[in-house]
This record gives sequence, structure tokens and C-alpha cells, in this order.
Amino acid sequence: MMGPFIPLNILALLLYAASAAGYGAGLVLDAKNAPIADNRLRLAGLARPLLLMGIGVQVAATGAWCVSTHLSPFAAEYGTLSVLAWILALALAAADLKYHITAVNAVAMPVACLILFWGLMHSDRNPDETSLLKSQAISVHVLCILTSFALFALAFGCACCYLLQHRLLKSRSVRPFLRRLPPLATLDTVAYQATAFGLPLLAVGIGLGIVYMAKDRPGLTPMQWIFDPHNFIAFTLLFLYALYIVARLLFGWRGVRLQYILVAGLVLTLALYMVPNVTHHFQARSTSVSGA
Amino acid sequence: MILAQIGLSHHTTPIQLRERFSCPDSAITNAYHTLHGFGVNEVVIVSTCNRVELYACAEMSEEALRRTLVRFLSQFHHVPERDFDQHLQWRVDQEAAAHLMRVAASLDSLVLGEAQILGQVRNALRLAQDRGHAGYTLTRLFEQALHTGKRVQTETGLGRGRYSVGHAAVEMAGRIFDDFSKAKILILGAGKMSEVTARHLVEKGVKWVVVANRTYQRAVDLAIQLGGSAMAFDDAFNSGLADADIVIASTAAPHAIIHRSNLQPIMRRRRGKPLFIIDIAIPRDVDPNVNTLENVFLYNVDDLQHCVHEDATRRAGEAESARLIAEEETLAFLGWYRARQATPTIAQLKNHLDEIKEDYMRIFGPRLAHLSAKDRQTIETMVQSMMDQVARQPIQKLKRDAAGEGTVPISLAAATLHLFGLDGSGSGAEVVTESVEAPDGAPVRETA
Repeated sequence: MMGPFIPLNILALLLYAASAAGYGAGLVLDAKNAPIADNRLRLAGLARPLLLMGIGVQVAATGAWCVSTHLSPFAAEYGTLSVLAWILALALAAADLKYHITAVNAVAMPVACLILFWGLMHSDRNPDETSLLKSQAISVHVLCILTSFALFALAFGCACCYLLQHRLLKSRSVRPFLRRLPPLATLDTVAYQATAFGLPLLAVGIGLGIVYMAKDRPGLTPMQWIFDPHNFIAFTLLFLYALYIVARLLFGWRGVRLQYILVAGLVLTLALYMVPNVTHHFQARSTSVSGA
Repeated sequence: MILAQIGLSHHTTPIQLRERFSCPDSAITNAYHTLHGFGVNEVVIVSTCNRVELYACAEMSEEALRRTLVRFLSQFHHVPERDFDQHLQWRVDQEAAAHLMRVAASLDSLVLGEAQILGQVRNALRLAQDRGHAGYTLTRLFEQALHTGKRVQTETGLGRGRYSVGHAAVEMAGRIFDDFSKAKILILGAGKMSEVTARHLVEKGVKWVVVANRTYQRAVDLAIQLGGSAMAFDDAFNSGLADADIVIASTAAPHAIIHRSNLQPIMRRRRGKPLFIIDIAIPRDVDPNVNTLENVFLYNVDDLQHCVHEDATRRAGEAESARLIAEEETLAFLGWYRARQATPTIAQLKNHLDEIKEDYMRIFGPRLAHLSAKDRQTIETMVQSMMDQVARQPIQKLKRDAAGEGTVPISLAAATLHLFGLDGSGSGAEVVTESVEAPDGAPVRETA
């Protein structure tokens, strides 16, 4: 199915790719003459507008999809992945504008590009036009889950940068192109904030899913539903991020170990996308449409 | 006379060995006293975190002076010679002078352009002068070096960067903390280096400073200067370490005072909060194993300087200008130093001519007795003027030759000694002359 949204998303992909290249080039090229601990990139001045333009183009693409198909973007894997890439790009842009963590963007922007690219690769699949996907509750469910995933991906990027920076500091190494990594405290703060926003959204998304299951799938027993690998991993994910928030917020824990939780969290998120769904699918299809 | 430098520096010696040769101000009197016992009287000790160097000027052979200084280093610091002999740097005359100029210009520092070295060279000279060990030559050498350092600071951009351990500490802390106004500093040891380092961090916005020192009053004094508070030294190892984000350790303790075992329970209480420890003490205050603790980042002097080394090397152009200044000042010193080498010869020559005049005045004095005192004075002045005129050009040539400006491919000083039959002993008293006969035929003065 070809509409104006495809060329628009291709344009968005190009803009994201250029932005990622700008962040990456800045990380490598600018760092030669950069003082240590100054995590602002001069090339980021170019990459940032490209990123914002890409976000704008994706808004237009999603709008075009909705107008031309009269469907939720989550009715197709392409639309879902496109929205996921958009939310991730939005989260990265917001974090960059507030904290200047351009080094994280250099790592995370290619991920957004890959997600969008993957979605475009599946743009030929027909959308699911079941009435379920026209439900606002399900749209909110998917949107919440996708937003939480994007935020967890941001937290993961920060955690990876934290672990790398930690290792460099421990080894007293000053690799020129890694000097641009943000301070540990900034990375910790951004990761925490991303998780603190992502966790409630995940909880709301799962909650809406449970409400739907209880209301529209009365044939499933709770045990069947819980031990569905997809749902089981989703609960484990919720528990894992809750553990992070509790350790950080209630017990005041900081440091390396918490970053490993965030890394494990994204691995579980990927597993969630990969594992087969038994109960978590829309009625009209045997496999998940939303991928959430 | 030989001018020599011997020492260990960061170029050749790891900090583990260097710290064993640390010579704090409190031990310097004893060091000079010991050196006096070794027969080396004109000597200056430069002891910094990057180097321990001795500059000596002595009337002995190069080999004998080296042996003496190595023996001193070994005995005074209780380190067997075999442990450090291969790390030693030995320079004489021109090389020794040039090295000190480079040191003062901060060209020999790990961090090019670092600001502290000039003060450390000045302090080394002052300590040696106070104890009567900086003779005329070494005083002149060090003054020339201080002049070099000042010129480099004012005439080149190398000084404008003013990179130091303090700057390095701020840079590294910036990779851990994003808001210095929330960071807490604990200073262990109220020394100059810790003050300088803490001041850099305070300038970056740190507001919470606690100083702990064995002498509580010194802690209070430094705390007032930094706008912080003082703490009992023992409390610092408990509540101080638990609360601080940055610890600056710079005590004069002869061994490590913070170990992995006593920091581990504190880190548990800190719940993973990063702790940045800056150990600028020589010998080190913090056991290197502390760095293996999670969320602890331990940096000693060498680590910090390596971190900014790359930034400093970016200013290679400025370093080249500084190098030229150092070379210029070395030549200026060497000119003076070599001219000074000719001084004994000149003195002997003058004495020799004076004695000839005295001899002749004594011989011919009785024959001038009929003249008035004024006429005798005129004759004496005329003789003196003739003597001075004869000596003037040879003396100028001798000075120029000694300073390296001569064009004659031989040592004029040696030639003078030879031509005038001087013995080169330096006193100028023993002069060999042809016999001079009195009018009555008796020899007036004759020495073989």
C-alpha cells in the first residue's frame, strides 16, 4: 500500500540518518580539539535541527497515514514501528536539548533509524482493519507501551554510556573520541528520569491490556494469560524497572549496578518483541499486529 | 669545578619508586646536613611530585661527584643503589644548566605549562640559601632559571593555559559530576597542593568544603580561606569519607592512610554514590587497591597529569617558543659560568703584574728618593697605568674566550697560565718569574 506517508517516512529516515551521522561525526571529529568533560558538540548544532526536522516530517507522515487509511497507525507493523521511532527520536531530542547528551544521541539515533527502516521494510503488508484496532483504549495501550519502550531505550543508551565512562575513568584512559561522553551524574539523571516516566506508562499500558483481556477475552484463565511468554516477560520487565526505581528512589542507590538493570531491561524489551505470542494478539490475526 | 645534576623524574621513574625519594621541607635540613657530611657543600635539592633532583657544584671529578651523590641518595632515603641506579639521570655543566632552564620553563613537566613548578624551584633555592648550601654559581643558575620561567609565563601562550594538577582534577571531576555546586570536598592534609587543587574546584562552584589535618588549627586556617569548615583528622575517616564526593589527599604521612579495607564499609554506606579521590601526596596517601572498589575513582599525580597531557601537547607551538627562551637563558648562564671559570686566571695575572710593579718600585724606590712625593706619586701612577694598559686586552680576550665568544681554537686561559708561568692554583700568589737583580747585583726575588 503506497501513500504519501511512505515518501515522507523515507525523508524522515534520511533526516534521522543525517542527524545520526552528524552526532557521530561530532563525537569523533570535534573531540580532537575539545576540552575534557565538555559534552557539547559543535557538529551537534547541525545534527539537532536535522533531528527536529525528521520528527516534524514523521508527524506529517503519520497524519497522512491516518487521513488516507482512516486507521490507527498501530493497525500495521509499519505504522507501529514508525511511531516507535518517532517517540524515540522525540525523547532523544528532548534529552539533548535539556542535558546536551549528544554523545548518547550519537549511539541511540542509529537505533531510531533502524526501527524506522525496519518499519519501512514491512510497509507492503496490509493493515489490520479489525474493529479492535479502532478502539481508543487499545491505541492508548499501544502508545503507552511504545512510549515506555522508547524511554527505556533512552535509559539503556545512557546506561551504556555510563558503563563506558565508568570503565574509562577506572582505567584512567582518555581516548580522544570518548572524551565527549557526558558526566556520570548526567547520565544517571537522564536514565533515571527516562525510567521514572517510562515505568508508569508501561504499567498503564499493561493495565489497559489486562482490562481488555478481562472484558473481551473471557475464555482465557488468568494462569493461561500470565504464563504466556509475552505477558510473562512484560511483567518481568515491569518488575525489573520497578526494582530500579525503588532502589534509586527509596534506598538512594546509585552507581554501576543500577545501570546493569537498565541494560537488562532493554534486553528483555527486545525479547518481548521476539518471543511468540499465544494469547497476546488481535482477534483477526494469529500473530501480534502491534508488536507491543 | 664541575656543575652537575642528578635525579629521578617522571620520565624515567615510576611513582612507586619516586615516592621513596620524596624530600619534604621538614626533612630538607637533615638532607643538607647529610650532604655536608658527604663533602658536597654547594647543592640545591629540588623535590616535587614529578622529580627529586640535586644540583651540585663541586671541586672534584665528574665520576667522584656522581658516586658521592648516588651514595647520598641511597643512604639518606634508605633505598639500595641497585633499585634506582638505572632510573637516574646524570647531567653535567651545559646539560645540567639547560635541564634546569627546561624544568623552570615547565617544559620538562608532564603537563606542559603547569604553573606550580616555578614556585617549587624558587622554594628549593630559598631552602638551600637559608641553610647556606646555595653558593654563588648555583644561586646564579637558579636565578637564571627563575627568570626563564617568568619569561615563558609572560612571553608565551604556554603559561596562559596554566595547566596543573588542580586543573586536571577539575577536568576529571567534570567527567563524574555535572553540578559542582552540589559536590562535597573533603581535604585530607592542609598543604599547599591540596589548597591549590581545592581552590580550582571551589572556583568551579563547589560550596561544601571540609578540611581535616593532624594539626587542627591549620585545618581551621585553610577552611577559612576556602570558605569551608574544619574537621578532626580521625572523624574524616568516618563521617567525612561517607559524605564527601571528592577527596583530596595530600598529607605528609610516610605511608598510605586510606586502604581498601577501611573504605569498603564506607562505600557500602554510600550506596554506590561515586567517590573521586585525588591523591596528590608523595608518598601516596591512598592504597592503589582502593581503585578496585566499585564507584571509587582514584587518581594520583601521574594519572591526573597523563589525563591532561594530550591537551598540553596541543600547545606544541607555544612549547617551541618556550624552548627557545630556555635555550637563550641557558646560553646567558653559560656565558657567565664560563667567564667565571677564567676568573682565577685573571686574578693570578693581575696579582703577577702587581707584584712585578711592587718589586720594581721597591728596587728603584731608593734612587727616586731625591724626588718630591708628588713626582714619586706621578711615576707610580704611570707605572700602574702602563701595567693596566698591558693587561687590559689580554683580560678582555680571556673573558670572551671563556664565555665561548673567542675565535682562537685554544684555551686562552691555559695559554696565559703557560705564557706567564702561572701555576693555575687560583691564589695568584705563587708566581714564577725570571730573577730580577737589584742595582747592587743581588737578586731581589727569585722563586723556582
